[in-house]
Amino acid sequence: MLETERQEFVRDALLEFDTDRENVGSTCAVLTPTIKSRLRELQSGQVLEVRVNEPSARGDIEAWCRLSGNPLLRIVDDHGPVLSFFIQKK
Amino acid sequence: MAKLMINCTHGQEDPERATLAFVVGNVAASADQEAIVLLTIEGVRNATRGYADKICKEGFQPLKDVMQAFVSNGGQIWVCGACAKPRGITDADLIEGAKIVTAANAVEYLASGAASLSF
Repeated sequence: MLETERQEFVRDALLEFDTDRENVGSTCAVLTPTIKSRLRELQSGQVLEVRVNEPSARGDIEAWCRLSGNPLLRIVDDHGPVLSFFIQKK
Repeated sequence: MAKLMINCTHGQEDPERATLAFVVGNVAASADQEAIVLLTIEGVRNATRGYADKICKEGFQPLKDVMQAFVSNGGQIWVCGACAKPRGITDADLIEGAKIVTAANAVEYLASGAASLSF
Protein backbone atom coordinates (compact mmCIF):
# COMPACT_ATOMS: atom_id res chain seq x y z
CA MET A 1 0.00 0.00 0.00
CA LEU A 2 2.83 2.38 0.81
CA GLU A 3 4.49 1.56 -2.48
CA THR A 4 1.22 2.57 -4.12
CA GLU A 5 1.26 5.80 -2.16
CA ARG A 6 4.75 6.45 -3.39
CA GLN A 7 3.83 5.76 -7.00
CA GLU A 8 0.62 7.78 -6.92
CA PHE A 9 2.13 10.89 -5.40
CA VAL A 10 2.99 13.28 -8.19
CA ARG A 11 6.61 14.15 -8.61
CA ASP A 12 8.53 15.88 -11.37
CA ALA A 13 11.97 14.46 -10.70
CA LEU A 14 13.64 11.68 -8.76
CA LEU A 15 16.88 11.67 -6.80
CA GLU A 16 18.06 8.25 -5.67
CA PHE A 17 20.72 8.63 -3.03
CA ASP A 18 22.45 5.33 -2.35
CA THR A 19 24.84 5.72 0.58
CA ASP A 20 26.93 2.77 -0.58
CA ARG A 21 27.32 4.12 -4.10
CA GLU A 22 28.03 7.63 -2.87
CA ASN A 23 30.85 6.16 -0.79
CA VAL A 24 30.62 8.75 1.92
CA GLY A 25 31.23 8.18 5.59
CA SER A 26 28.40 10.44 6.58
CA THR A 27 25.20 10.98 4.60
CA CYS A 28 24.56 14.26 6.42
CA ALA A 29 27.64 15.80 4.78
CA VAL A 30 26.42 15.26 1.25
CA LEU A 31 22.69 14.59 1.07
CA THR A 32 21.20 18.06 1.55
CA PRO A 33 23.71 19.83 -0.68
CA THR A 34 22.89 17.21 -3.32
CA ILE A 35 19.19 17.94 -2.90
CA LYS A 36 19.86 21.66 -3.27
CA SER A 37 21.81 21.00 -6.43
CA ARG A 38 19.02 18.88 -7.90
CA LEU A 39 16.30 21.37 -7.01
CA ARG A 40 18.12 24.01 -9.05
CA GLU A 41 17.06 22.06 -12.13
CA LEU A 42 13.35 22.33 -11.29
CA GLN A 43 10.87 25.14 -11.66
CA SER A 44 9.21 26.71 -8.64
CA GLY A 45 6.34 24.50 -7.53
CA GLN A 46 7.72 21.30 -8.98
CA VAL A 47 8.24 18.28 -6.73
CA LEU A 48 11.40 16.28 -6.23
CA GLU A 49 11.19 12.78 -4.80
CA VAL A 50 14.29 11.82 -2.83
CA ARG A 51 14.86 8.15 -2.08
CA VAL A 52 17.55 7.37 0.43
CA ASN A 53 18.67 4.20 2.17
CA GLU A 54 19.64 5.83 5.47
CA PRO A 55 17.24 6.30 8.41
CA SER A 56 19.08 9.37 9.70
CA ALA A 57 18.17 11.15 6.49
CA ARG A 58 14.76 11.96 7.96
CA GLY A 59 16.23 14.37 10.48
CA ASP A 60 18.50 15.96 7.91
CA ILE A 61 15.82 16.52 5.31
CA GLU A 62 13.19 17.75 7.77
CA ALA A 63 15.63 20.31 9.15
CA TRP A 64 16.86 21.34 5.72
CA CYS A 65 13.32 21.89 4.46
CA ARG A 66 12.49 24.07 7.47
CA LEU A 67 15.66 26.11 7.00
CA SER A 68 15.48 26.49 3.25
CA GLY A 69 11.74 27.07 3.00
CA ASN A 70 11.22 24.27 0.48
CA PRO A 71 8.10 22.44 1.74
CA LEU A 72 8.39 18.78 2.68
CA LEU A 73 5.08 17.51 1.34
CA ARG A 74 5.23 13.85 2.26
CA ILE A 75 7.40 11.12 3.73
CA VAL A 76 6.81 7.52 2.70
CA ASP A 77 8.26 5.04 5.16
CA ASP A 78 7.29 1.42 4.60
CA HIS A 79 9.82 0.28 7.22
CA GLY A 80 12.03 -1.09 4.46
CA PRO A 81 15.53 0.06 3.61
CA VAL A 82 14.44 3.06 1.55
CA LEU A 83 12.68 6.23 2.65
CA SER A 84 10.98 8.57 0.17
CA PHE A 85 10.69 12.31 0.67
CA PHE A 86 8.62 14.56 -1.57
CA ILE A 87 10.03 18.10 -1.56
CA GLN A 88 8.47 20.99 -3.41
CA LYS A 89 10.70 23.72 -4.78
CA LYS A 90 9.63 27.05 -3.32
CA MET B 1 17.98 33.55 7.27
CA ALA B 2 20.55 32.93 9.97
CA LYS B 3 24.16 34.12 9.97
CA LEU B 4 26.79 31.50 10.69
CA MET B 5 30.53 31.76 11.10
CA ILE B 6 32.46 28.50 11.09
CA ASN B 7 36.07 28.76 12.14
CA CYS B 8 38.59 26.39 10.58
CA THR B 9 41.98 26.33 12.30
CA HIS B 10 43.59 23.33 10.59
CA GLY B 11 45.08 22.42 7.23
CA GLN B 12 46.86 19.31 6.02
CA GLU B 13 48.03 18.41 9.50
CA ASP B 14 44.44 17.54 10.42
CA PRO B 15 42.42 16.80 7.28
CA GLU B 16 39.31 15.86 9.22
CA ARG B 17 39.09 19.22 11.00
CA ALA B 18 39.96 21.01 7.77
CA THR B 19 37.16 19.24 5.91
CA LEU B 20 34.43 19.27 8.55
CA ALA B 21 34.37 23.05 8.76
CA PHE B 22 33.51 23.23 5.08
CA VAL B 23 31.09 20.31 5.28
CA VAL B 24 29.08 22.16 7.90
CA GLY B 25 29.42 25.41 6.00
CA ASN B 26 28.17 23.76 2.83
CA VAL B 27 25.17 22.25 4.59
CA ALA B 28 24.33 25.72 5.91
CA ALA B 29 24.84 27.46 2.58
CA SER B 30 22.80 24.86 0.73
CA ALA B 31 19.98 25.50 3.23
CA ASP B 32 20.08 29.15 2.15
CA GLN B 33 21.70 30.39 5.35
CA GLU B 34 24.38 33.09 5.27
CA ALA B 35 27.57 31.16 5.96
CA ILE B 36 31.17 32.23 6.31
CA VAL B 37 34.10 29.91 6.93
CA LEU B 38 36.75 31.91 8.76
CA LEU B 39 40.20 30.41 8.25
CA THR B 40 42.73 31.02 10.98
CA ILE B 41 46.12 29.65 12.06
CA GLU B 42 47.05 26.74 9.73
CA GLY B 43 43.58 26.82 8.26
CA VAL B 44 44.53 29.86 6.17
CA ARG B 45 46.53 27.58 3.89
CA ASN B 46 43.31 25.85 2.74
CA ALA B 47 42.43 28.99 0.77
CA THR B 48 45.66 29.03 -1.21
CA ARG B 49 45.65 27.72 -4.75
CA GLY B 50 46.43 24.00 -4.98
CA TYR B 51 46.75 23.37 -1.24
CA ALA B 52 43.35 21.73 -0.70
CA ASP B 53 43.96 19.42 -3.70
CA LYS B 54 46.05 17.23 -1.42
CA ILE B 55 43.50 16.92 1.39
CA CYS B 56 41.06 14.04 1.45
CA LYS B 57 39.98 12.46 4.68
CA GLU B 58 38.67 8.91 4.37
CA GLY B 59 34.89 8.88 4.39
CA PHE B 60 34.59 12.46 3.17
CA GLN B 61 34.54 14.12 -0.19
CA PRO B 62 37.87 15.72 -1.15
CA LEU B 63 38.26 19.08 0.58
CA LYS B 64 38.65 20.87 -2.73
CA ASP B 65 35.23 19.64 -3.87
CA VAL B 66 33.54 20.61 -0.62
CA MET B 67 35.07 24.08 -0.78
CA GLN B 68 33.94 24.56 -4.37
CA ALA B 69 30.42 23.44 -3.48
CA PHE B 70 30.39 25.81 -0.50
CA VAL B 71 31.31 28.79 -2.64
CA SER B 72 28.88 27.75 -5.38
CA ASN B 73 26.10 27.66 -2.79
CA GLY B 74 26.87 31.24 -1.77
CA GLY B 75 29.29 30.62 1.08
CA GLN B 76 32.13 33.03 1.75
CA ILE B 77 35.69 32.15 2.73
CA TRP B 78 37.42 34.66 4.99
CA VAL B 79 41.13 34.40 5.58
CA CYS B 80 42.53 35.90 8.76
CA GLY B 81 45.07 38.52 7.77
CA ALA B 82 47.03 38.22 11.00
CA CYS B 83 47.52 34.52 10.30
CA ALA B 84 48.11 34.86 6.57
CA LYS B 85 50.85 37.48 6.78
CA PRO B 86 53.45 35.53 8.82
CA ARG B 87 52.82 32.58 6.50
CA GLY B 88 53.60 34.69 3.48
CA ILE B 89 50.09 34.43 2.06
CA THR B 90 48.70 37.38 0.07
CA ASP B 91 45.58 38.07 -1.97
CA ALA B 92 47.39 36.86 -5.06
CA ASP B 93 47.68 33.35 -3.56
CA LEU B 94 43.99 32.87 -2.81
CA ILE B 95 41.38 30.78 -4.56
CA GLU B 96 38.22 32.32 -5.96
CA GLY B 97 35.68 33.04 -3.24
CA ALA B 98 38.30 33.72 -0.56
CA LYS B 99 39.44 37.08 0.75
CA ILE B 100 41.69 38.36 3.48
CA VAL B 101 39.91 40.03 6.39
CA THR B 102 40.84 41.68 9.66
CA ALA B 103 39.96 40.78 13.22
CA ALA B 104 37.57 43.73 13.24
CA ASN B 105 35.70 42.27 10.27
CA ALA B 106 35.26 38.99 12.15
CA VAL B 107 34.21 40.71 15.37
CA GLU B 108 31.76 42.90 13.50
CA TYR B 109 30.12 39.87 11.93
CA LEU B 110 29.88 38.05 15.24
CA ALA B 111 28.59 41.17 17.00
CA SER B 112 25.85 41.48 14.42
CA GLY B 113 24.36 38.27 15.76
CA ALA B 114 26.11 35.48 13.90
CA ALA B 115 26.31 32.08 15.54
CA SER B 116 29.73 30.49 15.54
CA LEU B 117 31.26 27.04 15.53
CA SER B 118 34.92 26.10 15.53
CA PHE B 119 36.93 23.15 14.22
